[in-house]
Amino acid sequence: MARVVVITSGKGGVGKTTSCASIGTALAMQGFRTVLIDFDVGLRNLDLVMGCERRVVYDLINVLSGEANLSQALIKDKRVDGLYMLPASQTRDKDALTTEGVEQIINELKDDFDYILCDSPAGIERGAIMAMYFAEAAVVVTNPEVSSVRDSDRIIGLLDSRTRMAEEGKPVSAQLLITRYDPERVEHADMMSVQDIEEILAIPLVGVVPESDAVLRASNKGTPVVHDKESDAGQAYLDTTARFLGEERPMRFLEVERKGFLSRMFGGR
Amino acid sequence: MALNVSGQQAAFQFKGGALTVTTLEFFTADVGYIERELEQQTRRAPAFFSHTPVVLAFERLSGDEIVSLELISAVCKRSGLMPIAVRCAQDAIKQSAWALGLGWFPPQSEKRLQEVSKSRELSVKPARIVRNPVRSGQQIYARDSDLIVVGSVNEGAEIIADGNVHIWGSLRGKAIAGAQGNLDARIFCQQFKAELVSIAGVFQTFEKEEWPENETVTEIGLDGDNLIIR
Ligand SMILES: Nc1ncnc2c1ncn2[C@@H]1O[C@H](COP(=O)(O)OP(=O)(O)OP(=O)(O)O)[C@@H](O)[C@H]1O
Ligand SMILES: [Mg+2]
Repeated sequence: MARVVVITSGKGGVGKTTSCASIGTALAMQGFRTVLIDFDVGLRNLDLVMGCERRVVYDLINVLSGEANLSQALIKDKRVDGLYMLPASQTRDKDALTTEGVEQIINELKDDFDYILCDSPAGIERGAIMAMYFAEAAVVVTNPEVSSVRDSDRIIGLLDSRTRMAEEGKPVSAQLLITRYDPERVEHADMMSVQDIEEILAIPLVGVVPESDAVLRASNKGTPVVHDKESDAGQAYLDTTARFLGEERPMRFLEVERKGFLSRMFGGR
Repeated sequence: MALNVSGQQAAFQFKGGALTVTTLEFFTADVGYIERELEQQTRRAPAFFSHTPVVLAFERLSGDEIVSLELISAVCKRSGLMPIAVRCAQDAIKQSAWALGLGWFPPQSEKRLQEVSKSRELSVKPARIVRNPVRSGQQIYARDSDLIVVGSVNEGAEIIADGNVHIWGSLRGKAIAGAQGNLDARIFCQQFKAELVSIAGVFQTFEKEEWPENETVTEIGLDGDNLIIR
């Protein structure tokens, strides 16, 4: 039986899709059958980050309206076994997302998969609510800045009230993923520190992904950054996925890298 | 495209039940007097008035007083309240209520009024306890009691109590104590980074620079018309 996980944030452009693609890929690399559902109807981009945009024939809305069945719409990842995605529609009406329809799709996928990751659109409107409604767990993606933290706070409140689990009186287990972390800017107090964010949001931290050129490079190539195992962001997503699966790993990439003479001599941190 | 299309489902359901509604009990029918007082109160605490549904109650007035319901209702709406019904014995008011599209409730008998106030005096209502952080966009109201938050009140959140407010974590949002006018109500928090605090309608907003330097336990109370923060 699959576990349904929503990747959500409130604020736009913080790294939800990037995180969904990389965590999903890492889960599949560990042997878990994983499917990614793009709920961002109107802005199709999970397929771009996954590099499968040219293979999109049918989408979520086609399946919801009965024009295609799930097996026709699911796209199999070329690089990792057991990884699939269900793309969003670029053109269709957001109102086509109904609770009943989404429930049916998720139930059908549950038998076949270990993890269902829902890539939420930004905001707190219908699309975001649909993406979270059936989730049992949530990864709340936050950037180290006041407005992003505040929006995440809002979203955690919604996870506690506007989900099926909440309606049944059970908590959705929400974990915090801080992305685009730039230790240098934190040191100069331009950005919030991990501690500050944790204190405000008061949910467990699952990972910190540093600001990294590797992310842009990866998404230009259509390869989730987690494949770039040399890169800091790639490693951070591997760590994050391990922690998500219950492993304990120390947080990395929290300090400014000192390229000084001493740190080079003694291997730095 | 239609939502929730499933043939058999009923379109609606009637449900009985008690709903707490604010009543506005008039001691006068003088519209000018009412308007002035409403204006004063809304200026002090705009948040309480905006879009609050109210029942207009007239049983405190003597039976022969002339009540211009249309004007009173308009005055209420102008201050942000939303009259939904009246409560009275007078037929004339009842008629105007219907004409204005307001509902009607029978007056509360003297005996019940007395009983209610008696039982109020005797019973101590326990504090409302919230065990999670109160998050942006959430609002919590402890009616007739204290409110205890075992966590923080975040930016964009609002907590209101008719009694005292106790926050075990940081106060980063809005906190309102003595919402029904209790001048002795207080707000306590572990760390003061509030957007707004209010006691019995006296409120103050804060910018970052105005927060107390020492990040320790803070108590907010009222001294005359001034908020004291220490
Ligand atoms: N760790 C990172 N370092 C540098 N750039 C990043 C990082 N994470 C994400 N980005 C960049 O930020 C932009 C937004 O990322 P992404 O599309 O994943 O965000 P999103 O939350 O899904 O956005 P939306 O709300 O529009 O769906 C992209 O250009 C992406 O390449
Ligand atoms: Mg996205």
